[in-house]
Amino acid sequence: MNFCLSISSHSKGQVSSIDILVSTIIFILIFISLRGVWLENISEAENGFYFSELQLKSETALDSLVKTEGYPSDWSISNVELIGLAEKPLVLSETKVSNLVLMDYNTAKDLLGLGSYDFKFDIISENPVNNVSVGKTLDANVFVYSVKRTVVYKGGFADVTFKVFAK
Amino acid sequence: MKYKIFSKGQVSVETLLAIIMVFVLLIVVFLQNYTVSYSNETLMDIYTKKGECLRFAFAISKAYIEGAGTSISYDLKENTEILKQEKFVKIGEDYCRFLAIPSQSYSLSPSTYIIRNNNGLIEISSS
Repeated sequence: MNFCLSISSHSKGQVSSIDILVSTIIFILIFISLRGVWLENISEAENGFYFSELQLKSETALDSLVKTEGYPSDWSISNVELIGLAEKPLVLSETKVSNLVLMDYNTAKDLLGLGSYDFKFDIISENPVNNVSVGKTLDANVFVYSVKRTVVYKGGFADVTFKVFAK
Repeated sequence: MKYKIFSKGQVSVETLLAIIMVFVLLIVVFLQNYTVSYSNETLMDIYTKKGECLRFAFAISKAYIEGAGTSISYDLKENTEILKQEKFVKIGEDYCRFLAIPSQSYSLSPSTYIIRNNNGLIEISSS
């Protein structure tokens, strides 16, 4: 009688343990899946934030270049505080563009408020002789944000593109 | 009587092990969840401040770029410093560069401000 009772208790105990084990494993699997989804969402939110940052910085820097005179208004490489290439909004000064070409890349990047991002600035004129390119060459596999404006340069229309990129 | 006690003991050991395992797993899950909640709040705080820093710096730059006479109303939500020499907005530990020349350094508390371009110099005043 006692022996039978013993087996009965023993078998019930086993079933109970397996039930708990299975339910716990299922719970952990669901938890890990949900956690994975959550981490993926965080990663997407972070990417969205950095994209917005890149967008803000690119557009601010390019507008500052093509719409302002810079500071001081007759700036040179030795005294520049803010880089602006315009004689008036969207009309570029040849002297200031030349100054930008001659300027140290890291100084220009810093003055344009780009922080750790790199940039490439291109003026594509109707006459290719007037084309200008400043900045770094794009590497493969970089995240690029590109902004474009149409300006007047050396008496003709030109497209200005400003690419900001991050590795 | 002896068998009875012995058989109960066998069940108890298994149950005990199962309960211990469940408790250990629950503790692991709780700690992970706590870490996730903690990092969630920290991330929210970081991105709120960093976002505010970027937006305010952008507003200052915009006032400068759009030329003399431009006024922008800005609802500032964080304690903020504007560093004239460095041309930085500072909110908490975040620094954001703006493209403008402020007339002076500022220390601002949350409120609504007018950012004004006065002949190329940026002035900030309460609205």
